[in-house]
Amino acid sequence: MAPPIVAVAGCPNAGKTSLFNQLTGASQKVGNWPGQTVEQYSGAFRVRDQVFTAVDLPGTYGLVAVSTEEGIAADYLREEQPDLVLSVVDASNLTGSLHLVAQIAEAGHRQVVALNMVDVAERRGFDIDEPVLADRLGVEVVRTVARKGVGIAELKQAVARSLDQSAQPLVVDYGPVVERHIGGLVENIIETPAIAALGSPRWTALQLLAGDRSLRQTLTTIPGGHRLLEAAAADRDGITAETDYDCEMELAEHRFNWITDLVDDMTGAAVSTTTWSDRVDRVLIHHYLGIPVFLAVMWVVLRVTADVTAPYLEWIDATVSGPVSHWLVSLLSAIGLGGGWVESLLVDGVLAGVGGVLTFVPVLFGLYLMLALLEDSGYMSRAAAVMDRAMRVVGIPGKAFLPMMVGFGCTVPAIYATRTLDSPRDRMLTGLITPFMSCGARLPVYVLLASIFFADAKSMVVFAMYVIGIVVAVVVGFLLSRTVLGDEDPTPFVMVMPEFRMPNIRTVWILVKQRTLSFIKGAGTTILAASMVVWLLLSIPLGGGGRFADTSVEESAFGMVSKGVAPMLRPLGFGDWEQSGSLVSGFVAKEVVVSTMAQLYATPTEETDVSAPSLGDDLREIGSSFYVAGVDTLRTIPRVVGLDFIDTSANTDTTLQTAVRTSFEESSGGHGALAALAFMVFVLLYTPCMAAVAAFRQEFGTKWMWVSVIGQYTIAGAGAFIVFQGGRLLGLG
Amino acid sequence: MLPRRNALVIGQPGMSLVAARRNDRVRVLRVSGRPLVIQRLASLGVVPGVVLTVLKPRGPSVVAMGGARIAIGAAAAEAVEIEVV
Repeated sequence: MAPPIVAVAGCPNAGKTSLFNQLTGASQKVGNWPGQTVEQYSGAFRVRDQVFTAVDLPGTYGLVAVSTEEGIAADYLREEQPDLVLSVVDASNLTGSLHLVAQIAEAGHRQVVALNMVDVAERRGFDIDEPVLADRLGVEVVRTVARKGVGIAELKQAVARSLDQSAQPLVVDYGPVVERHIGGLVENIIETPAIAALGSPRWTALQLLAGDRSLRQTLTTIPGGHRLLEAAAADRDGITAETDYDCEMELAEHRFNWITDLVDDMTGAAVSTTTWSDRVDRVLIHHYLGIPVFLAVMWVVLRVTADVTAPYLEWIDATVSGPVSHWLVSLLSAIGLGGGWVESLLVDGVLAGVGGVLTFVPVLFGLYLMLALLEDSGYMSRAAAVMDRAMRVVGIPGKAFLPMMVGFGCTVPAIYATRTLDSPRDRMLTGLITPFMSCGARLPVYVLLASIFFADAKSMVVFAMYVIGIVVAVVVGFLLSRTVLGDEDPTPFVMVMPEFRMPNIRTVWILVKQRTLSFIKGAGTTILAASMVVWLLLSIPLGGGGRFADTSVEESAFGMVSKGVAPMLRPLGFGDWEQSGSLVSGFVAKEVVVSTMAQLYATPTEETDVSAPSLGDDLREIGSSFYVAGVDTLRTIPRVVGLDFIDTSANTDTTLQTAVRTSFEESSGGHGALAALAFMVFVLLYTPCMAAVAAFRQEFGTKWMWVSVIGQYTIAGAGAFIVFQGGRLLGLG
Repeated sequence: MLPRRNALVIGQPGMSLVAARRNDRVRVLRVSGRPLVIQRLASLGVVPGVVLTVLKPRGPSVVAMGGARIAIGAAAAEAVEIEVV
């Protein structure tokens, strides 16, 4: 028999994730919600001999979902009917948290309530009488402090005890007018068995009156559903007419009256004191100080992501292309497969791809760490509040800033992060502009070209690319909100701001680990596949000479494709086939642009096989260079607050530098610096990578994917053209 | 039991949340506007009858509701009709 399923529900910031982590420990598994790309976390826990499966629902304030992510929780509860719902309540914010609890009880789910964060509530002077809550809802209530593991054992016992209790749906009185309409709808629902099977008829009626979108969708697939929907629409209009008020507000008002009475009975007269968190907020969301503070925080985040992680990036790169390659080659020759196409595939295709994925791990790890710290401390919602005012001016909702921030690390998770936005219009807008945020993979291209052509102003040029990306995103967002997506205003900003707190190491670690692993699995597979496709194209001889896996780059299929593209790029200043070739592979993934350049300019890769180092030497070298990377990282930390954006002493292959310089000077008729700048702008603005395009298609459909892709190439081409031709007209470069 | 909005003087609209001052204790009288605003505010408990403390009146408004702090952007805050208590 399958273990009973316990769905863990709660508002965002009620400590639901901490509690879920405490409950399931290391047994967590990641999957996807049915028909969704949002990740579903589940895990097992045990009470004496009985095993339970816990499913972590996305945080939600109620069962009438506003954002896509919130809808998942509502759908799951209705469609999967878990054996028990474990509701996590923020004890310091009872009124806000109990809305969800009341709705779960009204829906008739078997429920146990974790009264979480009781320590915070006590500090604020709330004296909570939880038996009142237990009595009113007819459920067990357990006091917990999930971040410290307090009350978890009792909670498990309560869950086990409650499993065979019968659940009686809670009935809240909605007043004579609404109750009359509910009564009518309930009769209607009971008539059709398929609809009555959806759950408690009274709850189905309430959801219909509240205008739940996904229930409406479900009903359109059930015979008799359309008739019920029409009846519900008439009832909604009826309630609005009779009460002279919006139907949803009418329902919420009665439910909150019930909740406020309950909270008064639980805690006595409400105390409201100004906390230190409120005083901090006076600065953080101050009318004038808010934005400078936000920019300063973002500066630190970017510095940590780009600089502090750089030594590890080099270490991974050196390890994979050095010792690991040697080992693989030695291993292959030992089993008699050395020297042929198998070696070429494994070393140049697979291993290079694995290396490409791994070198991105430190950067993303750094970014995810910083973002997790900001999220868990409570700053993220302040940043959204501050940015909302600034971004709304150009028609972009404040909540779009989180996906845009994530976009500095990697566009793929950024596209998925648009799910936290409230309306489809806001999501689409954010999805379309997020790719212009310069992701970590584009950075090496800027660094290489800037150090060749703008050695004195390298940091400024690199920083300018980030700024250009933001400006383009804002302008495109502004234009879209005035044209294609102009029928609707952005959704007004409403957000709960959690109290500031020390980030919890365990929560942050799990968040970072999950996101990094999901990058390795998701984007990693794509990059690996792409690396092998590029290898294949490089191996097929089309130009006459050579055999499979043994042909010159210029005569390979890849060289032919690049040559076909090159003439189109001539007006932009970079029409050499090597340049177009690196852009072609850059469609697959930006992290291969520089390595493709190295390959195409045929910079002699150091044949270090002079005397193959022993395994012991290799291991020692890996170990000591890891140690050096750690020291380098510590050294960069003080510089984070300084102003040199990129370490200017970074040493790139000088042979490659010379080859690139010559190539850009030639392709641009002597305007190498301008061409390089145009090339950087092009890299910044065209499609980030295949994985991002795939993610976009998954989220917004094929039609909008083409809009997005064509738009990006048009903007990138125009941008590079303006930089190159405009610069020449002005006599620059 | 909280007072019902029907008990208010008809034809004399209350002021909007953005017109409140810092540290004002205000009672919500009515919430209007687009369905999404209503849904969002309703799910957080900003409903008629609720008493809030204004921590920051504008850009964005920040109110305390019991232990919770809710930030409300200008467009939504204008749709929240209040009276000072």
